[in-house]
Amino acid sequence: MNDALKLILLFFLVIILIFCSSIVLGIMYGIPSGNVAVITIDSEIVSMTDYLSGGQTSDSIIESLINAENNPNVEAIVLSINSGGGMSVASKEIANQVLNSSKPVIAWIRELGASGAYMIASASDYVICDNLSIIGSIGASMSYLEFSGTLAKYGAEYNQLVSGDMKDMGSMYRNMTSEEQEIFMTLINDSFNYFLSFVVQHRNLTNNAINVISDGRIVSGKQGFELGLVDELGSKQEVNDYLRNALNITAVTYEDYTNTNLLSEFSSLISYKFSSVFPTYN
Amino acid sequence: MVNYKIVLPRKEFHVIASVRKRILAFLIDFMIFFFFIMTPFLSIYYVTSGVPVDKITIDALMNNLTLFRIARIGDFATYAIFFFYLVSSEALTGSTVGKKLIGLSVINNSGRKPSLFQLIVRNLSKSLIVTMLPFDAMLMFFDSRHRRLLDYVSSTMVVENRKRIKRFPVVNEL
Repeated sequence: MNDALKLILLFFLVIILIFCSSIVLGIMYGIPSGNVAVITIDSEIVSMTDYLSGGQTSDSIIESLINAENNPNVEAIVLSINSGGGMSVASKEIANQVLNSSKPVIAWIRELGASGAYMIASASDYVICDNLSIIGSIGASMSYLEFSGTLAKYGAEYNQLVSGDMKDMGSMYRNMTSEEQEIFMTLINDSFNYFLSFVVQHRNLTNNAINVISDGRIVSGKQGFELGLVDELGSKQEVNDYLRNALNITAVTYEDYTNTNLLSEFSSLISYKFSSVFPTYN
Repeated sequence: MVNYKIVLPRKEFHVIASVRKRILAFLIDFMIFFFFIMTPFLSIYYVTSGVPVDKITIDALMNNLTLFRIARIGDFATYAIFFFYLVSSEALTGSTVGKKLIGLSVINNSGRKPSLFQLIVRNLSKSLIVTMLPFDAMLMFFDSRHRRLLDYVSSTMVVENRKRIKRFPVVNEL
């Protein structure tokens, strides 16, 4: 075989290589082509998770938001919310990421959008929920188990050496003192005040609405609409209409951006939750 | 009367390729790279990866990690294909299309066909590690055999296809 023939054969080989590798690499490392990113928040919002306790971490939701933000094909982000909230810092982190998004974010509350999940929704540009959805629960809570009575019943005594009076505050083996309770209430009130001011600021609520929601109650979608907690009552059709009419997205193509992995999916099936000593929005 | 024909022993010498011819050959290969490798590759790659080319600006590229990663992968892949083209064509024919057109070929210091490893080393700076090309090529202007740094490292050189013939013993005309 002479050199010219070898070079011609090589040329065709290179062309085939270009064709195959560009398609394979494009598929492997490409970005989704849908123009509306859907991120689902449908379990407890947590900062970190092990595979027993389940929940969605703020990191995974923020990563989904950043992925959608980084894709130039995406024109809007829809948060499909069906959650009763979660940890206060995790909820705040997600809400701040939503606020920082340069693309319009629409919160679509399904059955439940309460507490930390509502905080995230309130950071969105537009909130849609059904009139039967449960929303609100603006407040913070802490809970703990106490076994002092059980220990006394069995003749056991709790002893712990501590460097300061408050070092073992929250211990489940003794009664909580009024001073400790005061400290815990300060933490809860700090969380609550931040939450309330966040919602008031981003939803432009009236004084009447603030008075109603500040007791931490849950409200129906219909009541929430009247109080100004949501912008529109409806379902997926209303989300579609908003994308088309308000955001001028003519051909809406949804793309799921929710980060999921097999282990977390499995763990959510078997998860059970301990009462937490951290302030939570749920 | 018996006629005798005196045949002097002859020896062929390689002619070292000039810098000008080597640059010309590289420019031809670079044109091949640009029109037949980079342009078709990136066109297909960006279409299949879903990147809206019309929306891409330098700012968007530098501030968007996803796009930057896609661009870097495309960039690396085109140079990898060019590397494959350079090495395989020199391994199969002793020269690339550019060198063939100018009449050059690659040999090792023993005057034989270079090994695959030697070809891989000498072509690194023209493709995969293109940033070192200026430093690599600088030596070409100072070396008596016009070798690049990686020619020197891989013990190869570029010669012309035509050879200089010398007869021995050399008979000088009076």
